[in-house]
Amino acid sequence: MCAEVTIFSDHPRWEEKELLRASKELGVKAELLNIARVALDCARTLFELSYIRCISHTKSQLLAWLLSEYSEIVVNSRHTYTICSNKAITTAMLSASGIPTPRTVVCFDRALALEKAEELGFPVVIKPVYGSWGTMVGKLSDRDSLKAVLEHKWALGSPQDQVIYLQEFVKRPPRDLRAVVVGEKVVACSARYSPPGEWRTNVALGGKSERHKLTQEEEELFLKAARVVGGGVLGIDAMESERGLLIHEINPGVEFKGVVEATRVDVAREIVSYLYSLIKK
Amino acid sequence: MILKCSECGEGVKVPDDALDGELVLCEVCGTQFMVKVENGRISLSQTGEIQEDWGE
Repeated sequence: MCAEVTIFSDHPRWEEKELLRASKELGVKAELLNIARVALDCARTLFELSYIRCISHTKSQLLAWLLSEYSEIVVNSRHTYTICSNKAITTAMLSASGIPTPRTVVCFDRALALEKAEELGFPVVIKPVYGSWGTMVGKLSDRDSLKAVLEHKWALGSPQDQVIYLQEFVKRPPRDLRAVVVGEKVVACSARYSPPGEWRTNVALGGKSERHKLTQEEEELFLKAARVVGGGVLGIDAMESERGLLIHEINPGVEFKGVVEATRVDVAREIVSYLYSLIKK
Repeated sequence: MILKCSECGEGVKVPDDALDGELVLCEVCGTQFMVKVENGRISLSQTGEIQEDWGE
């Protein structure tokens, strides 16, 4: 074992460069591995701490399981990746644990989906269970729109498209909150505003962020949500509703450029310090 | 560094600190490329569209 922290990435981003910069500053031996260049051999491969940072949720989840077999420590854990890589599982876990989350229905039949959407009330939000960045997330104003989207999903033919995830459209200000949780700490929080002509707030879609100060109660909610999915390094999103904060997404491969620009917190340094603390335990 | 876009022939900007596997876009035609660094040599390969399971 040479590196103390091995970062596994498929497509390194600004965040991975930041993690390498922070590691250097903190004197932590870190290495970035492009997974396209790595063949994992259980008999020969051993890592001290593996930190998984792939943008492919499929690859991240599989790596979390494989690396658990020949790493001392894996962040995030296979448990966390399995829950957070699938919105349906995340929602079920949050809801079952009493974390406020938007009302959501998961079903596998188009006729039943139409019926359940009427119960949720239009507009209704439809999301793929995999992926993030707001990709293929739709706000559908009526039954006809939903019917058309479902017909398209079925025509695509992928088994994943035949999992229907419908969520109530939450009345909220034109922003949501993004908290970066590292271990037992919320290290930074920003409010993300929808870009012009867009209802979604994802930074990947051009949303802008500004620093947001959480109340102690709100901070506790984010930490509780993190614990429900197994903790680690997470980007947790919440909406401010009439019913209080609703946690709606937990990202296991958190992108933190937006929150760093808004808060000036050195998130990469917080993450590397946390990873190093796990090694030294 | 500027490399030629295999789709439209215009220049694609590759950051000086680009890492193996990093994604870059041709600002002219929008084609997405992956940076390949092999033996110190930098090249681009097309990656297609954003994949369904990509995210954070």
